[in-house]
Amino acid sequence: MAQPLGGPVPIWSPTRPAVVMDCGTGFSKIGFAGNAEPSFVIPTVLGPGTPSTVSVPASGAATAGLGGRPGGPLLSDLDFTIGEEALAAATAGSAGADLTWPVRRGMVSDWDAMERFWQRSLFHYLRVDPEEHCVVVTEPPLNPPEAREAMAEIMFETFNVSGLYVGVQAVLALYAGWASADRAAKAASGASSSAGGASAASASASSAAAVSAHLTGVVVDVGEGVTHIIPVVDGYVLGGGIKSLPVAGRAVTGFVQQMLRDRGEPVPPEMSLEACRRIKEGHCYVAPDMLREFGRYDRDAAKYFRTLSLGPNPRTGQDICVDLGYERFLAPEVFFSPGISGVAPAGTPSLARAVDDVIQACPIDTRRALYGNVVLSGGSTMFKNFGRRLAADMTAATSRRLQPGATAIEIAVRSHAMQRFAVWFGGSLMACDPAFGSVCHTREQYQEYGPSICRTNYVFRDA
Amino acid sequence: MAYHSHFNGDTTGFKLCCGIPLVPLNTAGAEAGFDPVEEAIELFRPNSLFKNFEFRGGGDKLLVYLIIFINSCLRRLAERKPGPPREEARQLLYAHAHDRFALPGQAGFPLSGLFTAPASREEEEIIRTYLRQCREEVGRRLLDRLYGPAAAVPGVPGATASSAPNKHWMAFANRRFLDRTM
Repeated sequence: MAQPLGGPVPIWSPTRPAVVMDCGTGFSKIGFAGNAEPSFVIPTVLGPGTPSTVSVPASGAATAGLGGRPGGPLLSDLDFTIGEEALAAATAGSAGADLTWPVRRGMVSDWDAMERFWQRSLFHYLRVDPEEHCVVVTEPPLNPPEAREAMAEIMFETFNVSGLYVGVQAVLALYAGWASADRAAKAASGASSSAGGASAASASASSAAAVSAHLTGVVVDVGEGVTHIIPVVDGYVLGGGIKSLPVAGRAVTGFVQQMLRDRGEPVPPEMSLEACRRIKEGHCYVAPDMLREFGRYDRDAAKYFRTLSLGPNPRTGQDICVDLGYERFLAPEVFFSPGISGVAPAGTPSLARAVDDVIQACPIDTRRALYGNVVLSGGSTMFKNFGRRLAADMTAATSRRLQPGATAIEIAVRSHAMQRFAVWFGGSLMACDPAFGSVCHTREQYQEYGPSICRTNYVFRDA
Repeated sequence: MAYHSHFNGDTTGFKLCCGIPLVPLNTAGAEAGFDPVEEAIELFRPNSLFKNFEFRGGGDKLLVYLIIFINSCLRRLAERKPGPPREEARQLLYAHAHDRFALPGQAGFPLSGLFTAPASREEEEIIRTYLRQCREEVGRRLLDRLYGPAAAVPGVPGATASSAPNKHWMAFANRRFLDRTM
């Protein structure tokens, strides 16, 4: 078998772990391989100001994009912030006019901004020297190969990383789901759970066939901007079956906003988005049935209605108190009844219906396996009872089609502890795998063959 | 998926008039059995959220008519800021129910095209009495939902002892079901 040009030098070692960066539409998860959680979760946004100091831009000095900052036009490239600092700087200055969101609907639209974002996250947040580390980045489904080449160029030319792997988000999420279920089983059977990553890695080295059998499933990736439903069979994404829905985290927040506004709650408009996000994350849950839930609220008001204090109003100084009512269960309901959302176009299918359609579009011999392994990933799947409701709706949809006497289709929606950062966690596990060295593209390979080597990234390879 | 009426089936056994079944209303009082008015009040909140509705039968037509009527009641109450106390609301709703309203086939009827116009004078009279009875019942039972039962019960937020209508209900006043108003 062909030896990788990097030779026997190990790609990963405990002193030089790979860097895993999963940059999504809303949030970027960055950290080191071998960890269970990303070190930083920051909004994927660039903004004005110098890092760690928030400077108010002089009036009249605003120019398009990131120029015109205190450093003057020559140093303007260096005067930008990312993440929470950028949001804070933008609200302190003009209202959000200079924010740049480089990732739209999962795909990078502004490579220049993305490069600066990565630069800031590698040097300022993670504080690594990229020359010594491998980097794992993720890509959305149906990402064009040219985008992978652009990533490779930036990583190898600008940052001179020692290795690069571009992982498909869906496959990494499946990897995470399987590996954490496997680890839970091992921990239950008495294996030591302290070296969690290592035991998963050793399990995966047992046979490629076992791995590929588990890498069959449907990934429901509900992010901030868009929801993707991606069928994966034996580690390969069935591109023709991918479906995306416009209902995601932002739609849920928008629904909460609309309901609060209809009721006339005293939320100042500049705090509205942030407050609604807090309400969504802290108080929303998925109800089994919308109508019965209304009934429960009527019968037992004290248990369900809540009052929330949002802190002092920046202008008046008084405490803002809002009442929470039906939006607690109606907001996440937009996934299962998209007709109630103002954002979703007419005819958007419910999530269960969409997953069903995706599986029906796949080859017939894979369908039962796909029904049996629906994996959730993404922050917006963290609502309580999300998995159960999805499973119940899918069971209803499939049992309607069954002829009497046919075996019921077993539907399993897997929620696991790492759901929120499933893609990142999958990247972390993949980079710890001993076979990673053979699938990662090294600097030497890049210098020899150019960026086109990064068009293909294998999930597993026979050593 | 919006919720549909229970009175849609053909075997309901009720007299039909203008395309809707004339289900007798249960005016017994506190333990009102399940009738179209109760159904409309129960399905008002979930159905108002949907933008499309598929009519599956006569029961659905009556349901949608009553939902639009409930919406108009809430809007009538919302005109007075701050919300009116219970007694005043009761009078407002009674007056609104007995107001001159358009019948199927006349101008101003919100669901024209779905209801068949009354064929004869006596059918017109029947539908007018029935609709007026429904409207009055809706007004009466809506009061209990907005202000709590006649004896004030603490713990319902937004409605302190019949001083103002429940703001969680009033939030639906702004929504227009199927873009129709009465």
